[in-house]
Amino acid sequence: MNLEEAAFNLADRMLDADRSGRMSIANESGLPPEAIALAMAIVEGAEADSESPLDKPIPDAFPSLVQPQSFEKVGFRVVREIGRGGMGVVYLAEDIRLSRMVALKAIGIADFGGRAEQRFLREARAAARLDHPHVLPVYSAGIAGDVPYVVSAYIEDGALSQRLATLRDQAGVSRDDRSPLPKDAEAAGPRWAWQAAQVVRDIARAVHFAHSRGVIHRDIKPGNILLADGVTPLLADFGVAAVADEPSITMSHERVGTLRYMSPEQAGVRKESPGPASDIYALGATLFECLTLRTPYRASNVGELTSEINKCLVPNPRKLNRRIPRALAWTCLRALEIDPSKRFADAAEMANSLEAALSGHLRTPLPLVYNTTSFANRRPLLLAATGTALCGIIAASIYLTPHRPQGSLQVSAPSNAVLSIRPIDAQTRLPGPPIAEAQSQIDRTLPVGNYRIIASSPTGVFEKLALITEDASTELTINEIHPLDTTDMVLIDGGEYVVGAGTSLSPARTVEIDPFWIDQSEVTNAQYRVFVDATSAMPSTLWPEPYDPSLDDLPVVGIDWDSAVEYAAWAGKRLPTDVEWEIAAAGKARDARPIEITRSTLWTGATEFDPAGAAWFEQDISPERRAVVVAGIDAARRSLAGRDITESGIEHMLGSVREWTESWRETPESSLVILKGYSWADPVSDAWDFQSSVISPTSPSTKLGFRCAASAKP
Amino acid sequence: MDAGPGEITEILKDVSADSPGAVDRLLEVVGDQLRRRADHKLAELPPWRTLDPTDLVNELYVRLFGEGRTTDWENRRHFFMTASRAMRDIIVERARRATTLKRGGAMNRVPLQEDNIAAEDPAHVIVIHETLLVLDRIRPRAVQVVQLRYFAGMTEEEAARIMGVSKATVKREFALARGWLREKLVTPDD
Repeated sequence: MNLEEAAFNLADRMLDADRSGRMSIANESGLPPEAIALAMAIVEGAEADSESPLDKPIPDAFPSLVQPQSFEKVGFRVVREIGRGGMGVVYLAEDIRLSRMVALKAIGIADFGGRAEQRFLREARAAARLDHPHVLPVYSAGIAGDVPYVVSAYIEDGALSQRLATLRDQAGVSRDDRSPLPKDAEAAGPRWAWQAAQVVRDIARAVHFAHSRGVIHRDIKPGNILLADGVTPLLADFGVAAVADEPSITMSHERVGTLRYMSPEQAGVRKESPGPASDIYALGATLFECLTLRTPYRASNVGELTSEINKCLVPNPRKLNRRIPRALAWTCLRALEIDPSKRFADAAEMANSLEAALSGHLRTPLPLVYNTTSFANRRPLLLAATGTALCGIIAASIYLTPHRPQGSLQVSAPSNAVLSIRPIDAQTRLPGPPIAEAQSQIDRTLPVGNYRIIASSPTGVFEKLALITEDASTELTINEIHPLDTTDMVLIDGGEYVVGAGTSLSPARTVEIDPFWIDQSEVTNAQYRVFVDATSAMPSTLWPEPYDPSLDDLPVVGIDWDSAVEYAAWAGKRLPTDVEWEIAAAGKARDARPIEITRSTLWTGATEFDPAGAAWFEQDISPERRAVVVAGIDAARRSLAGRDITESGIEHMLGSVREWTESWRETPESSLVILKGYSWADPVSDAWDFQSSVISPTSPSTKLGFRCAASAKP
Repeated sequence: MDAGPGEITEILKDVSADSPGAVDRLLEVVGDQLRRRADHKLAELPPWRTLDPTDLVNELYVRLFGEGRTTDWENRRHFFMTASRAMRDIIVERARRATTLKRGGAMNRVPLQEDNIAAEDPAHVIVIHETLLVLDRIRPRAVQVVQLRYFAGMTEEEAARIMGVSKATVKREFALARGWLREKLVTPDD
């Protein structure tokens, strides 16, 4: 027996004894001091509170297939991991060649190769060609070693899933519980419901765009919807899920997380083969979760899903959130139909349904057929047996707000002025004939809505939009009326014009308008500064302190709608209506548009610096972000120089900044201002005259400026 | 070659009968199968997941002998002891490969020093393995416990059942092994 063995045996004998006992055992052993010292050390090390190499976990002896450094061979240096999901791990990486930050997704698939490899590359490349304002741009895809990867734009802002998690926290509900949302929850309010409807509408359009190019997403869910700048939804992960459908590939249990958004046919509960309708289902599940903060099914495996589907456990979303607008609840359930053939025919139809809801066009009853056939057929026995609607059944008659609330308006103008009030039609957004005319004073109760107040005097005309809100009194005092200064303005003839994109979303319509003047270019920082100095209005959120004169010629951004309206009134003008803006931009011919704005010059340029540089709701802008914004606007203008100009010489309608208009899009539960044009930071491939977007009037943005207009024939 | 349950049962019988070379043959077959299972499993898993050795060993057992089917107790014992030894070999082998990859180029001799090795460094497991080679000559039972508990990830109860000893014995052997490794590997700060 060697010394070490003897020491070990001694340690074994000492282990149970206390300190003095150990000493006597050691002394009685007759072993040499070095053996006793070793035994003491072993015993000490055997104590639970000591540290031993065996306490450390086995190091990664089975290293994952993904070696971040392996992407360097294909030109990407991994900076850090930014996310993990069922399909793979996402890294923030640097594109070494282009020295820009990208998101690199490594996809975890078994037995990858051969046919699966070819299919992956084919699909990923098809996805990379999808150039749409609401598709996260895919830059490239490939295979590093054995690991397929997809490289896309890096969006710093969070995903819709994070927003939903925050809303759940705020509402105090979990994803699985089935209690109604508390009334005071932010997500229970109509504001969020309409925001969510916009997000899903935009994504549905992106999905339709992809479908029309033969690309199916297969894994639409809130986690794959990124909210750039917090508002612009971008669908990520196109082409990523494609490979998972390969029969040779074992689906790992990690995919279960996605099951909640997976259509019955994708989950194998139904026999139909997954296709575009599966994406529509996933859009419905996403909308459902937005509106209720809960997923339609709670299943965590295919067996449970089958059983929930068979029991028809999709609740009516309005039971989980009583304040969901009916039109949205209906859209949701239609998309979630178990039978793919009963869902929306395509994603565009779903987008239209949401658009219609958003535009408040649902003044006709929803299709009854949905209630009587579709849902009842699902579980006729159950329904008959219990007499209760277990499934989400939508009430049959849906008419919206028959009652028209009122508010009051008081206007006072100089004594030589004639006042008139023209109501703005909520549908056409055109001013109607005057409903009231009076000399210098008006005090009236009016139905809630938007009105154009016109004060004409021998010196000129004053025009301003007044918003009449429920039970509120709106006052307007006009002190002076100036003649219109038409310097740098362009006169647009009155008459009949066709407006609208000519799509089902934005049908072409003929309007008759009065002639109007419109600014040749956006209001600049220099011009806006004169106004701020004269009126002590709020300066732009973009302006540094002290002000930097190099900003003078750039369009003013970072101001809210009220400020733009006040500026226009101060300048003796008003904001153009969306119709006027479109007519000014497109002209009578409505040709030579759209113009192409490439991502490489604009949006990508912006993200290369700092994607958050384009933040919408920013109050304090850091010098770095300011530099990004200024460089972005500058780059956009330069890259479009000579192209972003209409026949009548109006500049920067499309590429420079988005513009506030005077027009509002009214929905039953929200009112938002219509924006026209595109901006330096918009993810667009081509900008065109007929496109509108909407935003809250209180949202100043570094993307958003304005120009003024004025009626030429009061 | 793929050893079916029949063949393994034969080898296990030989092991029980103390036939010469039987243990080596069992180790070879079990190790080979585990290695293959590990590769297959890793390919199935998402790329960031690593293997659970316990799962692997148990899974191989179930694959070979079927769940609930009672194998001869002695055979069961031999299987798990062998499998945990094989698991240790596989882990060390992979750690060596990872170390080589990491250091780039030819394999370096790993110094028996802990202080400059990060917890996640695969060299950590190699150091433990090499130190256990010494302990094996002094106290084979402690090494068996370490194999079952540490390398194959078994609980004290499982290890006790497989070894046919009490839980207290497993605890004690493991504690002594901890002390031994600590003494051998932790450089005193002087």
